[in-house]
Amino acid sequence: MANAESVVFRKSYHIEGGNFQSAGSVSKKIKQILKQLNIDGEIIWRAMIVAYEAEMNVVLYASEAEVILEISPKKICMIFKDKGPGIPDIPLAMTEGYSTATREMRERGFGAGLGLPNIKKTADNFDIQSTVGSGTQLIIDINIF
Amino acid sequence: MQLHEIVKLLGAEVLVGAGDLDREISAVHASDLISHVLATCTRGALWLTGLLDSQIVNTAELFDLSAVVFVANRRPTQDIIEAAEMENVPVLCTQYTMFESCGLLYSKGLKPSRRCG
Ligand SMILES: Nc1ncnc2c1ncn2[C@@H]1O[C@H](COP(=O)(O)OP(=O)(O)OP(=O)(O)O)[C@@H](O)[C@H]1O
Ligand SMILES: [Mg+2]
Repeated sequence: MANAESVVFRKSYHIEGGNFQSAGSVSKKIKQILKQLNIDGEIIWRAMIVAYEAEMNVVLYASEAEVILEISPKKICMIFKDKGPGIPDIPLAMTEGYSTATREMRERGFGAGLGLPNIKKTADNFDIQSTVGSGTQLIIDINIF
Repeated sequence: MQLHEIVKLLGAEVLVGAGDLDREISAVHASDLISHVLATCTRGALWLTGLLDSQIVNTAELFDLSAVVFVANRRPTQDIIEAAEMENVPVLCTQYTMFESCGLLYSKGLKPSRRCG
């Protein structure tokens, strides 16, 4: 997280697990804010990749999540803290191609097992922690400069 | 290549975005998997798909894709069309299959949407 003094914007959002109707809406709200702050399009695009991957994982696998967006002059920080089953084997979940997606999720175009590796590749900083039976927390930074 | 040239090449029907056909397109992503789009798309790419899902438009808008083409005459539902109008995402529909559409675009020099690094 950024120093409290340097944070120019902070907001929190809620994601409902299992709700495909509203899926993507938090990412969209974050995009609008980044645009209003005149952040470079390429940086917004990278922020959207990680935000949407993380949001969809909550929709697909968790019951709900709180998202905290913090923008400082140097970076965009997003924290996704969900209540859900947690991830028993994080290195395995981080492997390209590993997915526990159901058939329905795959029919909707998800479940290639690329999301977490894509977040790691796209982010400037990425931390994942998970407790089985309780939930998962992602901290993702995208540098602005 | 501009979007209107792609409309012509694919004999496509423009369902949304008739006013945005001057968009310049250099790269194409063809896939029914949103996961693949997320992992490989580049900004401004054209997205060819046979997947009819409400997340398509969301995804195209979030990742700055220039337009969506539904192949093999897959007709998007009204909610997809309305979302595309709201989000200003051009939507085309072509009779050509995914294979044929890709072949036509490839033969005209369009490149795969691919991230470097
Ligand atoms: N928030 C989460 N809570 C519980 N399990 C998760 C969570 N996020 C990911 N996982 C687990 O990790 C696996 C890999 O996640 P990842 O995002 O890489 O791929 P995916 O969601 O299965 O497919 P894709 O992201 O390509 O659509 C998931 O299949 C799931 O088992
Ligand atoms: Mg995922």
